[in-house]
Amino acid sequence: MFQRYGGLLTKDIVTAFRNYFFLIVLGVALLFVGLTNFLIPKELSIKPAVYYYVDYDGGLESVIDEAILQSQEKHSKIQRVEAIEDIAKNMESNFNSLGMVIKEENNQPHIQFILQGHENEKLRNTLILSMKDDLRSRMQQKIEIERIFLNKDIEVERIPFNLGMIPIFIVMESMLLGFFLIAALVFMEKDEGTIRAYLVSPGKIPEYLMAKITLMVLLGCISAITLVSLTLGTGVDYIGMLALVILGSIAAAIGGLILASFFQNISQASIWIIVIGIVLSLPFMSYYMPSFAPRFVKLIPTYSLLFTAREILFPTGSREIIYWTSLGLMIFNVIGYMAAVAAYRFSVKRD
Amino acid sequence: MIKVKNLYHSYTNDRAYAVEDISFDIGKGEIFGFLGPSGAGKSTTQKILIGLLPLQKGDVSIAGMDIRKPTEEMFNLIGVSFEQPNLYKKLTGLENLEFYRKMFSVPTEDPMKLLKMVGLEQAAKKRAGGYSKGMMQRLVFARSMLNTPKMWFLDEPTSGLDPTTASNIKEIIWQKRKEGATIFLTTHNMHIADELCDRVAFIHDGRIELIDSPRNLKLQYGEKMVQVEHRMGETFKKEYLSILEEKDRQRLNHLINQGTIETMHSQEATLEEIFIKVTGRGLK
Repeated sequence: MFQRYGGLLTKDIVTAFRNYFFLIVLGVALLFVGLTNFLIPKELSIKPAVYYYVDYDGGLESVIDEAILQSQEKHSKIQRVEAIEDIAKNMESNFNSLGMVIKEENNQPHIQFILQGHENEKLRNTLILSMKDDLRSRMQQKIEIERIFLNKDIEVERIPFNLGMIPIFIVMESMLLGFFLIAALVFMEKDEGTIRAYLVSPGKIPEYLMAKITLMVLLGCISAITLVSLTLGTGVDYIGMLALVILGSIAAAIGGLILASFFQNISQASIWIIVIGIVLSLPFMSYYMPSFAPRFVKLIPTYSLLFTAREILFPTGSREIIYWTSLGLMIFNVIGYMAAVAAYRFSVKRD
Repeated sequence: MIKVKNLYHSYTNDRAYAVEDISFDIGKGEIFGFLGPSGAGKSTTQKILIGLLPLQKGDVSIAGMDIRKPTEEMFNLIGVSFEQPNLYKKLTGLENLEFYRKMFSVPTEDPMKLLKMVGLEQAAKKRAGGYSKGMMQRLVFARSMLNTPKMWFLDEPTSGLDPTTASNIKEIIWQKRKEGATIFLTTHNMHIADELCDRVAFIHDGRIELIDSPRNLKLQYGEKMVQVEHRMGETFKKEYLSILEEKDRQRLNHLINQGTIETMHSQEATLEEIFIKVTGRGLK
């Protein structure tokens, strides 16, 4: 059995190598590394920077300081300047910015916002209202701001935008690419008719499928290690990441195998490949727009994979998502593998 | 070695049988030819025997093993040379054989030795995708010998081969038979069947019409004829004369006494002629 599995795996690796699968995987991984390190900005925020000057030393000075500090937690681009002229200077050099002057008028703090004039009104109003609210609430000392959700957002915001793309790349390439590559490999063998020759040898279908899944896991790991090591360096939980990539690659490969079992060639399967690709991509929208997370999107496997990959690479302490996703993948992989074996037993007799 | 009893198969799972009530036995060390035109049921029968199609109805055993429950032992015993060259085109000829030998749990032949046998030693390290059709056919043939099969299924083994290579393949088949292999030869080439087979079965419309040795069939269905080519002045004339009819015998004696005969051959019916006589249609 192990001799056969070894033979099948060697054959699949050589075939994949000569079909440039390794080159494709490595090339795409390096492309993503290049995008992450050199093209995608570390910060992609449409929130303007705020330069403020405090010309107030009344009784509420400490309250104002505290309120601004709170605003800084939500919006890290708030910077205090030493002179009112510095606000204009900074705003001239940063087109996406606004200014704020806190003065005393009639023994009361008075806030003056200085705008560029081109700002998106919605964003501008949101920011101003948010800061006004923080200041007012502190001064009236009525509202204690709930910080639970805010803190979570703060953690997310702290991941640089470019590095925040890495979980997407890992799910897209290290795992989902296996779905397409394994289907391509099976269609190639169907075209060659080699599976018939295999079926009249003592080789078994489970070994045949297992070797192909192993190849996909290998490609997934090469991709993930290349991508993560060249972007995040060494300070990453590689064991956790590889465990997820292995489980995810197996799941994607099983999906590709089952899909390929129903069709004779890639053109017959292409419409399904496109549809499945689109469905699996929907959770990528939720990743950057958490407000877009309808129930059906949460049920798509890539949703959990994305947020689990993020939790592993940029931990926030929410380990439950890792455990649940891993458990789900393990269950899927066992059932999916059995289904794939059954599908192939049926399809080889049918074809 | 093989026992087939009342074998039926329907692709549509109804009474439209592709093979219907087929029965035959093949003894150990025998070369059994399965002759029939395209669509007669040859491939369906072979696919059932080698496990590529499920056994729906009937009984089939190979070396005493029921093929309903094919075991590793059974697949170690059989070799299959497909008509369609189903090879890993990205692997070299040698790699194809090296991979396939690992599938068996019995001692296997040296792949290089097999490549030499079929004249592919020079192309051993060339990718199979770059082989000609004939080379692929020979590689598939070589692959089928890897496990020194006791039961060897050959599907059109000389199809697309030049006469020299085809002759070499026939020699190998004879040699393997001498070594004790039982051979199930599927073909529509009556010359190959005539040369190689101990017995042949004619299959037509999913049914076996007859089973016998080529010699018996010729004796049974052939007419005792002589083909004579003789000189008539400056030209040659060819005549077919029956040695059973008095008139023809006298004509033959006359030609012999005249001393004008250039060539003379006894004529026997070919398997194709017998097939046409039996089934009412040709083998193509």
